[in-house]
Amino acid sequence: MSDITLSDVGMMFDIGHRKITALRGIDAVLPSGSFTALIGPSGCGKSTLLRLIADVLAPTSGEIRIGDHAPDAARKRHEIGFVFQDPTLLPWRSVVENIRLPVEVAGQPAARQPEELVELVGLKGFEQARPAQLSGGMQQRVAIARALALSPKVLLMDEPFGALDEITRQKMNIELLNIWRETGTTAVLVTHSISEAVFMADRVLVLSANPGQVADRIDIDLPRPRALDLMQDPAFHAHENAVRAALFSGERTAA
Amino acid sequence: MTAGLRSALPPALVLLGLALLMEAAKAAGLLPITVPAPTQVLAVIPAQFADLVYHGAATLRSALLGYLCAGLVAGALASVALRFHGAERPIISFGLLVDCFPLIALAPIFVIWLGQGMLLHVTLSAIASFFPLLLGTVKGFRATDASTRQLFHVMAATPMQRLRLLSVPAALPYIFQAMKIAAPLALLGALIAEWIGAERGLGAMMIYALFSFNVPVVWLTILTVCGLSALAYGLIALVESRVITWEVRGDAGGTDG
Amino acid sequence: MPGGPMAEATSDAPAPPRRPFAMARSGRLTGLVKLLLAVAVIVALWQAIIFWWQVPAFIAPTPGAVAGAFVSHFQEIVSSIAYTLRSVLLGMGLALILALILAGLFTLSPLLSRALLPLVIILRTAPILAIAPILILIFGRGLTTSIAVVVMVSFFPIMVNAAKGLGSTPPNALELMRVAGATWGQTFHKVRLPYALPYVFTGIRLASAGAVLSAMLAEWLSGAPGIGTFILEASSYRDQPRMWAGVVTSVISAVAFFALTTQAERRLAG
Repeated sequence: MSDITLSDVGMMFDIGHRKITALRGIDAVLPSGSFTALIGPSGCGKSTLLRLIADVLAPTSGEIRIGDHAPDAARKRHEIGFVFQDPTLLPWRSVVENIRLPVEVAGQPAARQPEELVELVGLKGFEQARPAQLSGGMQQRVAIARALALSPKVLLMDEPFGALDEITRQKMNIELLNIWRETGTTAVLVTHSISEAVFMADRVLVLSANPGQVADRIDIDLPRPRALDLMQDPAFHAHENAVRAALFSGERTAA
Repeated sequence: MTAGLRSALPPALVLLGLALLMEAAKAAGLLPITVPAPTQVLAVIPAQFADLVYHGAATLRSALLGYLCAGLVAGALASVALRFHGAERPIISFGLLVDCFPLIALAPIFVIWLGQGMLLHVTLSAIASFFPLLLGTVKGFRATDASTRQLFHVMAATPMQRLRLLSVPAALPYIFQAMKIAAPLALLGALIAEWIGAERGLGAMMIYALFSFNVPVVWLTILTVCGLSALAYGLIALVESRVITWEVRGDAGGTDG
Repeated sequence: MPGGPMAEATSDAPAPPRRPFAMARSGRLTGLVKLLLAVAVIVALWQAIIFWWQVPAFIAPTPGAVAGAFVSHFQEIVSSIAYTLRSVLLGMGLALILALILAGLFTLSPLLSRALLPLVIILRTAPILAIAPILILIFGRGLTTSIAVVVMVSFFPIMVNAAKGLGSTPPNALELMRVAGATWGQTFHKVRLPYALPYVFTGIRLASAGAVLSAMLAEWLSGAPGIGTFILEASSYRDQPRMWAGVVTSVISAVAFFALTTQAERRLAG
């Protein structure tokens, strides 16, 4: 199983001669196959937390486990898929070559054929296109397909749709949910949109800033599969309000 | 290719027009004796052709060797700068310092140290073309952004994979740009070395023609140097267009940044 | 392995407060100290190499001998370098004016720009200094030639960057001026020029790297009484200390001139 377990995780940065506490005492269990959203004001360390799970940064205190492994072991076993805010595609590679990149690096047979992933993210016909020929939304689809190329146990996403317009964003959200359900991966999504967090996740972790701490944890028990009309549901609004309240109480304690 | 031809058309027409204008002005007696008509320059080519090839080959050889030496030294220094973080600034500053040294002032000292032979020509040519190559290489290998580096980290790429799949392709546009800028400079370095005193080389031919007031030959040698430089630039650009088939973001524009 | 330079990427990590003024002042001071230190190290190394390997005086004179030559030829050196720097300044000034005029015309006429700008960009990369002999043919052997050579060499980098700068005006600012009913001259003066200025200074900086070399080369070929000729004469008399004094003077002037334009550019770019 690949639960993500965070126990008393803390992160301090040395900036010049000052130490800055970015995260303190983060405790959470993200069950295998679940979808978690991280939300909080800017500066709360939500992107940092995602990078701790991905072993891009190492926590200065506490422990993180992905299934039975430490993050660096999971990373070296190619069990982590990461989607950045920018598509970060290699401009000299075609769509299909970009998706195949993790397979080449891992040197193991592809868990899913890149051509199949192209179809999954709805880019059939664009296999040989270069990233510069695609729109922002299409580029981000390639980035998601790339993150899925080795069927990772965890899929980490750092505001992947932050740069997209609202309409594209909602379409992408629904597609992402379909992909997630099909792959069964443990998903973590960093977002600054309350409705996106509620629409996507099983649970929302609300972080507060200075230092980054878990202010609240809100379970979203809305039925799946979810469609756009869910957003008109009173239950949806109730959850949104709960998240908003948690965000603002966090603001107040920070101020 | 056709797009390249189309954008080359207006400036080519301007050049042609300029040549025709000069021809007409010369015929009307408007130009001084020091400015020949284009046809006068063309007329001396048959008589001078053997000389041009003889001297041009020497200049080209010095420039090519100097260019290669500059490339090797720049590559070596760039890898030191990239390997050791603290070394980058001193190395770039050193390159910049060398770049703004007046080459002609150092030349007499190099004459004493290296004699007046090919070694001198190659050295000055290498010094003249060194800095753009250094800067381009360092900039190119620094051109990857933070999230792409993080991506390769998350994928657990080995250092060799990073180099092959990320750093080298990302650096190539910058390196090509630097190579294009450096090629004419290598030629110029060789030319300056030949001006100081050489028996063979386009610079020597030019000086000889200058002092014997053979105006068309002065112009011819200069046009030959410009032609060679354009040829070198064009060849590198041709290779570049074959290698860099993707759209390069921003300008990898070497020294104009 | 994680950490280190990658920390910069976490977009929402708080940034430390900055004190730019204090930093700038201490930066300049340590810069000066570093420079003096570097000079001292170079001189010491120079002396040490000559002492250690017993380098004969005709290969490299001692710093003391060069200093002596510098003192005994002081007046000649000063007048030579002044001559050279005058051609550099006049040449670059003229090149700047010409480049601004032409770049301004390019904004007026897109056709002109399409026909001439590629040519300018091509010539920017050509070994322009190679045409110095032609300029000597045309302008004779005086200050005019030196200036002309500097103009030819400085013009293209300044021109290319000025054109780039004048083209960098945000369309919104131009629309604003049009809505306000501004004339072409007003728009140029109040909007295009300020936006272009940093680029122009980049061009000046790039041109300044080769300007002293160009002036010296012109003197070298024409015999005009600048520092280039001073070095050439000393070398033909095989007077090594005198030649080195000239070389050191010209190198320091060239580097200082480049440093000055770099400073000007940096000040402007903020």
